[in-house]
Amino acid sequence: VNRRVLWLLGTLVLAGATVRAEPAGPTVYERSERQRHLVGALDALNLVDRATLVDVYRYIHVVERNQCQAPLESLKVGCLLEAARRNCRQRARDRRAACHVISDVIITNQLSAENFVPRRVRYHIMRDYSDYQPALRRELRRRHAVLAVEFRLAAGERGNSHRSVVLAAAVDDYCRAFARDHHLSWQHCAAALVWFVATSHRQLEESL
Amino acid sequence: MVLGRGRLRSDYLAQLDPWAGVLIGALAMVGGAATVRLWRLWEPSEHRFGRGGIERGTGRAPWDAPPLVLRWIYVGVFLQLGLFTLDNRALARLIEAPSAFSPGQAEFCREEAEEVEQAAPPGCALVRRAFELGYAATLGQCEPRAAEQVASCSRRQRDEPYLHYAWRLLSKSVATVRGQVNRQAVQRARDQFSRQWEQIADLVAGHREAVTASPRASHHLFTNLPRPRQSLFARVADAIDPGRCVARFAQLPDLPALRDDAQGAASAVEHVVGQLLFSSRFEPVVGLCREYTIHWNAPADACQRLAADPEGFLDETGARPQVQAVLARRARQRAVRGLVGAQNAALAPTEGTESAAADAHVRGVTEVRAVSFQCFTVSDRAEAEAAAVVEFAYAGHRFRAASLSVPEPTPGLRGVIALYRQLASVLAPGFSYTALASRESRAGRQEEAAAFAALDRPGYLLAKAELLRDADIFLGHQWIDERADLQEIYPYHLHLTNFVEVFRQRYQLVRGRL
Repeated sequence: VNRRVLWLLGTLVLAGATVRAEPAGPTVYERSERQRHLVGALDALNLVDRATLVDVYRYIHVVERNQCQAPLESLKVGCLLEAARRNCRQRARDRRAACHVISDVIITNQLSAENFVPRRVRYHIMRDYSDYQPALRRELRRRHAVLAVEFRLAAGERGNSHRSVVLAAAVDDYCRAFARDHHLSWQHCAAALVWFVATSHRQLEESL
Repeated sequence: MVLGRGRLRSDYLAQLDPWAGVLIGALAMVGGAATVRLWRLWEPSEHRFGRGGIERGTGRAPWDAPPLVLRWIYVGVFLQLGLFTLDNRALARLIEAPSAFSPGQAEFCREEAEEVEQAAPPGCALVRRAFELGYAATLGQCEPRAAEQVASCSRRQRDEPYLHYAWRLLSKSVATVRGQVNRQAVQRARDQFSRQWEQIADLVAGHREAVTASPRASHHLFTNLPRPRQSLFARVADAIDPGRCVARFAQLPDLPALRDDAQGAASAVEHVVGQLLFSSRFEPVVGLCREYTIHWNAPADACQRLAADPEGFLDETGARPQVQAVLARRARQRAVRGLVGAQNAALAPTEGTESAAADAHVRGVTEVRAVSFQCFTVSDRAEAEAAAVVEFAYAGHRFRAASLSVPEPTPGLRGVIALYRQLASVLAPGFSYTALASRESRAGRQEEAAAFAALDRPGYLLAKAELLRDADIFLGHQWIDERADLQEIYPYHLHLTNFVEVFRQRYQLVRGRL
């Protein structure tokens, strides 16, 4: 019994020392957290009903184009986050978490649209189409599709996985490397891939 | 050999038009096959080399390479030939060749109707129509002018035979030559020739330098860090092809990994210098890597020794031949420019970015921007950065060598960023990177603190990562340095691009090439 007690005590001391030795400070963006977030986003986008998805998309789109116009990027991001939180709080309790995750992906895609569709292309589309928003969305989707193809080719089997845990890890790894080599921010790459992969079978274009 | 090596470089081949590649390949295959077939190289040779020269019928069959090998040798020969003769410019000229041979519209005189249409100011068609219908009394400004009405065309008429047109051109040329060849013109040409003859050595050397693409600048960075380790393959490749460095620096990752030893610091210094000056990822490229030398293992007081005895120190470090070559080239350029004279000064090759304004005379001697010396010393005894500038004269020119002594770089992001700032300030004196030059749009410390706090909270990881795009690590932001998780996703490319571009703007003002 004494040996057992001693062994238990030793284990506890070691565990305490290990916990204390861990680096201090928040690790919200460490790899496991990032992948967990992407798993949540993939699952939420796959499971959420079409009406909710379209509703959240339209809401964020309208807010971004109207009340969240700001000269400072940080103010714009803050405004969009606040609007999305407010919107999700109004939903049923069991759907709030999914709403937050979906809003996160949609906000990031809204903010990255200018990086995917350069100003020159945007200008041409606005010049050539009287109702240019659908054309802009199509062009953005086309560019997301190119990224998704590159991702599938680079990630191999992991990129084709139906398990969101595997897919999320592949997206995270790919986007970290892609950000380094192709000058696209990690979050832009990840949000575009998650959105495209999870919604490509839904034919949302007409509804948005 | 120089030409051949240049044409086989990977960066040259990469920029070659795909159609040029197809043509070169086709030329190699067709040329190789045709040579083998026309010369019947598959048949055994009848002649062989012997003691008395070429012999025939000695009774012994001469040794021949197998036909397949011969065929591929000739394919290789034609491939080389194609690479030497066909580049993107040649391909463009080949494509344009058919239109160059066909007579263009511009060679003929215009028809009368065309003439009127062309000469009329815009909007005159309506005025003429109104005049014809009687709605206007006069044509006003649309009235054909007298000069236009009598202007004759000396180009070929549409119904003129080619021989007649050729005779007209010949007689016109003869008349022109007669008018220009007189005693004064001959005297002028003779004077010009004798002036050029006096400078013939400079002119020939100038042409040779242009053809061989000899260096137009010589910049030297002395550091007491050891030479970074390179693989044997990389060292051999660098020795064989000095131009390879262009491709190497274009593919560098965003930031170097700074290891906690002298080798690590040296690798990081090489990385940062490559990005600041040579990497084609950033615009504009301000230097060619073969015109820059990093002198590793230099003494800690390199700049002081350079100022005390420039000739001896440059000899000791092996930099003197490069510096002398550039200074001599500069002197030759000046002499040739003087020869061309004020009349052709605008057409003469300028000294690149070395403008006359920057070429200021300091204390009676010229300061050269195409030659520079910098010293970057890492000292374990130094506690803070110490910058100094030493001035010295060498070969009739004034030089200012910027010297910076820094403590050992701290491993991690903070150390890397410090290295960028330190090397930038040494390479381009007067360079500074402040919030005004940054793309960061922060309003103040409170906002920075709010952003930091938001990044700590869970949820909305993707959207909140946008805040990092607005935090320029080259301006500080210690909180990013303390967060390994944020460093994994930080968009280095955004602010690195801005930093390098701002640096290069400054660099172009103070340093350059001939």
